[in-house]
Amino acid sequence: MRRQTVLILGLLLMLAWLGYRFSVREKPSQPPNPVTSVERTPVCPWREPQQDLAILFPQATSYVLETRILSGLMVPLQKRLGRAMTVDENPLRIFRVQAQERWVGSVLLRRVKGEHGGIEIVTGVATNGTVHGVRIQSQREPESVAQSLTDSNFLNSFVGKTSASPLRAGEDLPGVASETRPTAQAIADGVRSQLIVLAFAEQSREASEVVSHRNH
Amino acid sequence: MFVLVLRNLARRPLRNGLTLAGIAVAMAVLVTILAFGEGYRQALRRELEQAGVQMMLVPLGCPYDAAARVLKNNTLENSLPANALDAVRNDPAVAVAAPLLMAACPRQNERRTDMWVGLDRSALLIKPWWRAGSGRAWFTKQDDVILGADAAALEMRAPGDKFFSPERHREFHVAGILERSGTADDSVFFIPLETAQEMFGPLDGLRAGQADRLTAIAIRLKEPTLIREAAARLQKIPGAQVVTLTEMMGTFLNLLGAVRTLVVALAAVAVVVSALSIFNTLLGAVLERTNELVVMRAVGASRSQIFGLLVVESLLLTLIGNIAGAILAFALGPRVEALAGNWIPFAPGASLLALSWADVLRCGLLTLVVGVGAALYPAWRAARLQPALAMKSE
Repeated sequence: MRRQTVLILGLLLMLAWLGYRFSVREKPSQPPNPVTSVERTPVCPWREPQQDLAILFPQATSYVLETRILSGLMVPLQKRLGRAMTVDENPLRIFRVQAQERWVGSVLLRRVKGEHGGIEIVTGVATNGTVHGVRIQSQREPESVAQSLTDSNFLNSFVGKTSASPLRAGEDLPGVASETRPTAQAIADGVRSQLIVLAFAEQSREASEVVSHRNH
Repeated sequence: MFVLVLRNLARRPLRNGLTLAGIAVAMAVLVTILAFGEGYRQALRRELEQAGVQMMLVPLGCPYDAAARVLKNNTLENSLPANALDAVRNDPAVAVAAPLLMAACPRQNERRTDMWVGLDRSALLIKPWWRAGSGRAWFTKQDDVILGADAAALEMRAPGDKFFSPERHREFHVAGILERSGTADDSVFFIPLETAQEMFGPLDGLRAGQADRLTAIAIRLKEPTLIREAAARLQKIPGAQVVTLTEMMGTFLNLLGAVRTLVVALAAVAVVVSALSIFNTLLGAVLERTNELVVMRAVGASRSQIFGLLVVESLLLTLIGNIAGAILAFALGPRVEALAGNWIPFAPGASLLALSWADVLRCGLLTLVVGVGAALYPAWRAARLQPALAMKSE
């Protein structure tokens, strides 16, 4: 009898405590977040997956989003990259591309700072870690620069490159005019860092992973 | 008595658990509806206050749609007549008339739309939150652009960087980046009004002489009480119409009120169902425990004690249900808000849910009263049992 009473009272106390916790969590209102220099960049979305897959992996039948949390690798990765990791790199979103249940490659997304605005890169990576293809999904460069950046000659010059390739615009990546070079180099750096981060994620077992499915 | 009540409730855990669940759901629905209504009203008022204006002059068309589009920095297809700005500025009641030119540039291939807003210095008087987080807070050159906080983050721009409009082939320099305001302005590219008129006036196929194109004029009055007469005068400008923001707020709240009435009716049904559930539970308990109750009567329990026993049972059930319902409301409220927010046109950017303990107490009291009401008949029936029945059953 006394045990039941204690149990019910305990339950009531627990419910009251939970209610208090939930209410306290809702109360604090976020003050406006002042901008210092460049705000923390939001995660780069994949705007046209079907269109990009048709070009990067024409045989693709579906893709799976795999999210890797690379916090355990942050120190060696930042050392290799020579800078802090961005929101596109940790957690790393890898779109695993499949053709009839067979893994044919991965797609990575990254936003880099162009001369005139943000540039969003979609990189297809083959199963052996080399670049399979690169697409520019968003940019706001002047027409002449935009044309050469989206030109297939420039984009195809990335194919076959690995995380060890230096990727210097004008040298490893030929056909880049001098006015285009700073932005082309930003894209090249973006692709290179994608390859480095992916290689770390693939090699290390420390990277925990969360998987969710999405078919098309 | 309390121990006896607890023992009785613990005797039928499933039935009492289901009754509790019913009360909890009714309580959660009531609290969430009250919080949602209050939150919407507060958020709308805040957004209108942040707009810093009392009236909008917009091109002819649906006035509320136009004013809501202006508030949300969506583009307007029509333009105001050329003389509208002078007419507004010459009105004796007008303190500030800020001309605006809003243009949306869809980028089909990239699945995004750029929002450009051209404004002059008078806009600073109607945007009290306008502060530069970095760089300058105003343009010094015609090719300066000031970016909203989100726009700057998306385009990775800092003061001094170049910025380009691919649609209009025009290069800008980032003069400053605004502090986050929590309004639609965070995603906007602000440019000088003349530059916007140059970019989006003649190129949009307008008639010659419409280089001074405006899509809206935001108006602040010298005295808010002059709103009616000023609106009447400005309404006479041909090709334009006045929308007062209080009218717009009233219209939104009326729309919300209609929906709220419907949902409150549904919540009332939930409360009635939970009352019937308590009634059923207690009546069942009385029938089951007839022997026990008459024995209690036979050993000296008074009618009022038996009556009180059942009422306290109901009170305890309702109280536990209320606590569970309040937790449900606090836990699920934000998810309901996220779902509902998608269905409300021009929903304010701030939180639509204002959960408060006052609402929880109010709803708790209501359900307690309903709970006690539902217990009256079973308690009365139990109190009427004759002690002699104990002998009969033995």
